[in-house]
Amino acid sequence: MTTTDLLSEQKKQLRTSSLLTLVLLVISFLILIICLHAYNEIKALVPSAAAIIDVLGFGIIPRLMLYIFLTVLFLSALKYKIQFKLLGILTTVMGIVSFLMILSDYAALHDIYNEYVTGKFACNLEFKVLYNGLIFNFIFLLTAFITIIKIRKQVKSEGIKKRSILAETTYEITQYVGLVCSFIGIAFVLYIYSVFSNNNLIISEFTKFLIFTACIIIILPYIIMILYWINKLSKEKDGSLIDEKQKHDLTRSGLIAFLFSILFILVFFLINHGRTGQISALVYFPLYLFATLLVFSISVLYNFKKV
Amino acid sequence: MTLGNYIRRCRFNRNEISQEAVAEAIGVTRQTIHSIEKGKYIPSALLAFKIAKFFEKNVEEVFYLIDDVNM
Repeated sequence: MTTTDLLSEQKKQLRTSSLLTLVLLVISFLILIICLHAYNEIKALVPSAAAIIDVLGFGIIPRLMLYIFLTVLFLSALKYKIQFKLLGILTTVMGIVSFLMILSDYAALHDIYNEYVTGKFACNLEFKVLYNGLIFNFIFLLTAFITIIKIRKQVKSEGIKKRSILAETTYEITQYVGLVCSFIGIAFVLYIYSVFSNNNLIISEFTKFLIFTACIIIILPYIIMILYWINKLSKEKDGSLIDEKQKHDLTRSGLIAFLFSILFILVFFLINHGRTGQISALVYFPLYLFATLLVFSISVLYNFKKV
Repeated sequence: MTLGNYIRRCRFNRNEISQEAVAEAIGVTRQTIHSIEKGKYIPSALLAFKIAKFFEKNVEEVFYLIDDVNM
């Protein structure tokens, strides 16, 4: 197979992948419209709402498929050096948030069901969660749509360049994803901490499971990027994962993150020393992980950008 | 004491080759070549030799020492 044939094959793969993702996106958009209609019906206590709820259950499958296909598309676009940095990061952020919203939507619907069954219909907070979830999901679909169109345009107009800065692009995007994931993670953990410590709420095993699951979902994009980076670069002909400057920057950033982590643990210990309560023990590890990742990512990006 | 270089001049003398092309030939990222050219990063001896070999020059013809004023 000649180089030209290979590039055409790559372009075809990207076009197919982006088209499938677009189809799933349109289906997800329609499902969200149905969700909006369903929530209005449920709120108005309309009897036909029961049938709509069945649709919502099935609607989760194409929505989950969209996340998977979008991830595959982004990784393929990175591989073929399609430029979509800021949009990609924004879509990734919204994707994480909207995925978490799916969990909160189902929790809210479950609560509404329990309340309605006992004859209580004042579920204002739950409906607020549902409608906010819709807003975030619509924003996610919009950013994903724009990103996919941008990728398709680039594939069509410029073609796929020969690889020469794949390592640099992937390296940079990995740090941005780390930055974004750590921001969201810290915000989430601090929110959980304030909710549980201010209200003296008891933390059940199920709540702990939910919190840790949410933290894993938040860090998942970063883990995927790291694994992708290691996998792709390990196949490079000279066998080196990173070049010497990247190694230098990562080492320096690792040292900074390590020193920060000592300071962080000290501060956390002083704040929580003598306090009783489960919440500190629960959030300690996620908060430490996200804070250290934040410092590490910022440090690497600073060294990368300062030239 | 730091390290100066004539990489930019060498690139122009070689049909105005891009930093990306140099990076791809040597096996580093474009950003590394850019950092070295700007004097923001001092390459290892191995990388310095690779760069010199790419431009078909001796290391001393591509890199030079810059003495600090106070030394």
